[in-house]
Amino acid sequence: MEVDLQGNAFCFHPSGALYWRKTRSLLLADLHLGKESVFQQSGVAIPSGATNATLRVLRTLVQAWKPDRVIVLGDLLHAKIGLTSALEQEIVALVGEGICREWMLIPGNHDRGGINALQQCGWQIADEFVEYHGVEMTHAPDSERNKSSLLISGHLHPSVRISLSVREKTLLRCFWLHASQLILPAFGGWTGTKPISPASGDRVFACADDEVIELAT
Amino acid sequence: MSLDLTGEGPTGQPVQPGQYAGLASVEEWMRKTGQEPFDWQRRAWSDYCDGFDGLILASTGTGKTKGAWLGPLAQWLDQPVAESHWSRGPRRRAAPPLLALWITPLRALAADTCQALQECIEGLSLPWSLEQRTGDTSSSTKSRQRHSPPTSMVITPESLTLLLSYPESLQTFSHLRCVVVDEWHELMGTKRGIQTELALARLRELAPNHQRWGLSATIGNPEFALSSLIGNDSARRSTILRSPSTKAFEFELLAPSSVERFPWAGHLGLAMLQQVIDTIEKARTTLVFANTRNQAELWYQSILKARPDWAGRIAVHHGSLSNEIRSWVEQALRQERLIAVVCTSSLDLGVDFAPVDQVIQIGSPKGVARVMQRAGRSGHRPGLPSRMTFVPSHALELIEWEAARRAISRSAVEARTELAKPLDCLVQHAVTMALAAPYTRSMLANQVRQAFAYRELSDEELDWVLEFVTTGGSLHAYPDYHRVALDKEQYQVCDARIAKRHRIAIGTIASDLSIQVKTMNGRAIGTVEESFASKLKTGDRFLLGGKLLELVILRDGTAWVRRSKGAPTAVPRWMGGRMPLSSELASGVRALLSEVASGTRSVDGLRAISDLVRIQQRWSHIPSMGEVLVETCTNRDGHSCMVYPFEGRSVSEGLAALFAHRVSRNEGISFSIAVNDYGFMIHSDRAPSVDWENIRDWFSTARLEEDLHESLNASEMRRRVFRDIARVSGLIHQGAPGQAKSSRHLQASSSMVFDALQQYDPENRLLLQASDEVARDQLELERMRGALQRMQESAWVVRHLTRWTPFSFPLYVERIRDRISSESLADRVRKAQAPLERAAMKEMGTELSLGVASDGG
Repeated sequence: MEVDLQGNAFCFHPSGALYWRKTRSLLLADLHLGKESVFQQSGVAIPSGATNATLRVLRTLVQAWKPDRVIVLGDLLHAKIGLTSALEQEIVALVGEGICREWMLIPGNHDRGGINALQQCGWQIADEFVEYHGVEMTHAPDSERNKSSLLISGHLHPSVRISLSVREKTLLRCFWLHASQLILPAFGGWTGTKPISPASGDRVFACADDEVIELAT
Repeated sequence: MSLDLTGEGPTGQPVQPGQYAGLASVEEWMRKTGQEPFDWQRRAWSDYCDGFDGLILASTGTGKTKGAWLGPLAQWLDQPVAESHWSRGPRRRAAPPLLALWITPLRALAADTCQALQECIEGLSLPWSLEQRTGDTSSSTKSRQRHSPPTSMVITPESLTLLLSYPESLQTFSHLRCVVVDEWHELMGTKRGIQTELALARLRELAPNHQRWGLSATIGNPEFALSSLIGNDSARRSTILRSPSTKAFEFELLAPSSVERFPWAGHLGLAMLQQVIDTIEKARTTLVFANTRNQAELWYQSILKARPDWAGRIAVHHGSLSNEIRSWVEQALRQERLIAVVCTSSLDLGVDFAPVDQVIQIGSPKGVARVMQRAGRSGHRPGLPSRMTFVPSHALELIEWEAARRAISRSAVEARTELAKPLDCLVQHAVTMALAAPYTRSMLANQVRQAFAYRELSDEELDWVLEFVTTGGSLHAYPDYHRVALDKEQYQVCDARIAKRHRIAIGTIASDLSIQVKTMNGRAIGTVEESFASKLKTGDRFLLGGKLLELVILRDGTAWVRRSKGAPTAVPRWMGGRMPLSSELASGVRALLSEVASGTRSVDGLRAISDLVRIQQRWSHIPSMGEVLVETCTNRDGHSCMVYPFEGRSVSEGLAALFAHRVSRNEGISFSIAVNDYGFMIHSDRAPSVDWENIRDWFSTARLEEDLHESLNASEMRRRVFRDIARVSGLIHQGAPGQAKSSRHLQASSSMVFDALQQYDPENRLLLQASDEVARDQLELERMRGALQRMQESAWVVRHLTRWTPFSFPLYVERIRDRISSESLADRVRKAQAPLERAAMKEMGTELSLGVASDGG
């Protein structure tokens, strides 16, 4: 789904990724790679699978769109112990494959501790705040912000509650445009979501299977 | 001869009563305090001294505590001094080691129990020490108890399991001679009961000769209660003792006078408030039982509003209030500082709870045992009658009430159903045991098959559990997982952090996912369900603990609130609000209706029932025992079909979904469904092409399970029950209070875990367990199958209605309830019932005591 925000054309993908045409950049947030492993290492039997699925979707998107750069808006990893040697190899393989020139991470709260290792895997580590072609990017939304320029972030894992019928409700991940801030849904396959309560004037774009639908708010 | 209490076990020789000197001391002490032992108590004591296990069926307040406790004490008095770890000479040594455990399901009861047990110990001048061990016990005391336990201990199932997870437990329990499980009926058939069974199985290993006694309220299947208590061991001798029901019940009905009107459906609400207040006023102390926590809060507020002078003299008590508040209420009730407490099932239990003068039950109690239990809270002393006043909330409840009274006079009480080998509890147990000491597969197999619930555990199931705790069950899916280590055929937990987290999780088996409610200065008020809290917005007002609270902020798993004024804007929901009618009561209702219809029985003084039944009979039909009634009704709203199996709401729900699914598969039509305890309604825009004369064919048992799974949102139901499974088996961590932050990276909702398993480990047996639990608990599949079979053998009576009948009207109300707010519901119910009432009056004369619903909630 194509949406124009402050003169920039963005393509919202149902996976939670955002393609910014003008700069040929693919933006995504909150992958939480290695999360299952973190649980397993702590004695909680969560089956592996989501991390690999997330990486597969990412690879497919990059191959399809051929962006110049991938920008992750924080929480690429779930925790340092989740970056097992197996996961490291997967990441090195993806980055080193040559399907995209630049892999950039704006560090999020979960990336702390994993920064050095990610750098060695080929990721460029950016500052916590990045301004690029007039658009700001960071990990966590800023609730006290009063600037009118666009700020893109993640962190919240926003989702929206939809009533399918009287008795049936479901949660859909969503892109949430709140004032001048765009908050991306979590890209990771096993991350959990937080239902939002949009204010009037907000725009909400829900990821419904293989479509993105703008909801009336 | 005497029996050895310290571990050699009974010699097995039959002994004549009277040979026990200890029993003489007991008798002497009882007489000195002015009590004459009951015959059944004497039987219990001598059976205990003879080495028997046993189950005592007695209602609260009949002396069952002494019945179970004085046996072990008398036996100890009889043993040789050298073996008692104590000398009776002037130079007293320390108290004997741990000999007796008293397991109580509610920690709120522990203090009361301790007092009652201590009284016996002191009365007999025993050197026994007695302590509690519950979640409230300080950690320093707990740690001391691990190394030097008291002679006897009052303990909750969770605390016992926790104690068994420590390596010291091998020593702690080695002298154990006696285990008493109090309120066993509360534990049976629940996961806490299973946890208790597993703990008992472990105790059998640590102290092979200990004797087990259980105390239970009257239940329909005492043999099962006994077996599940003593475990799978045919060598043990056991007995079941009943206190003869010397307890008399006095029941009274608080029905609206003919001037006031009686709703066919909806809620009578607070229309009876003044009568309830008058009734409270007549006695010194009263318990007012409501079926849901909302109702309890609502009644408390309303009574207080009507009688502001009672502020401080009445209170509210339910399971979502903080311990502190609850124990204050209990204490105040004991000291007779309160004249009335509005409560829910939270006060169903209690040891020597202050005997109140009377009990008021608001709305149908939905079960025979529950009536007895609650009524038993009054006159709670041997010999005194129990008084209960019933306040029906709509007309059909009068029939339930009458059916319950009849069942009590015949002692037809509900049976408990068995919970067969749930694997989540076994997963937890396998880890708990691996914390205490290394074990082999065969050691664990022998131990857990001792527990009655796992007597038929297959090798395959056991292996799955052991695989699950060591490798996750499939190496491919869980590469980094090692909860329990397997080394040279020995299972053991080596990681201290895993051990710590597991011990925290053991205690959470009973608690639901809930959010603490605290005032801004940090005082705990109680809890609300997470799902309710998540929908609250700042400034929302709700009732809790009899106070109107306003949400300030929701943070760190706590809802911070302040006192507020005005009207509530949100109504907390708690699980278990809607209890289905028990099958015993349901069949009692069927029988009663059938008798009233055939005129073989008139219900004394219940004019409203007779009128109601007569109208139902004129406008439609009253099904007799061998009949099923079907009503259809077509009006401008569409077409409705009502079927009345009288099997409780969960069966109604399943049958409705089944019928609707089978019809819609046939012709592509969609239905809305409404259910209650008596039957269900399916509603559609047009009449389905069902041959009403052969409607029976739609209710065959063929393909029952498949059709059900297709028809219900089975996956949503599985997701819901999986929450409990995930918690018990350690797949989610709630974290201890204050720990929430440090373990944040380990937080995942059960719903997320469910998704992960479904997607990446669909063969996981815990998912299968969720399906089984849905079939058994949510759908009551067996009960449903029984209902279908009965319906197949019944004659079907079909009536096409021109207007709603007393049976169908409540279903109609139920159906429109979903569509509109509760306020306008009351108006609509009133509007809809008015013409029915006029028609009924025309036919029946003017003195009809039926009326309209007076409110919606």
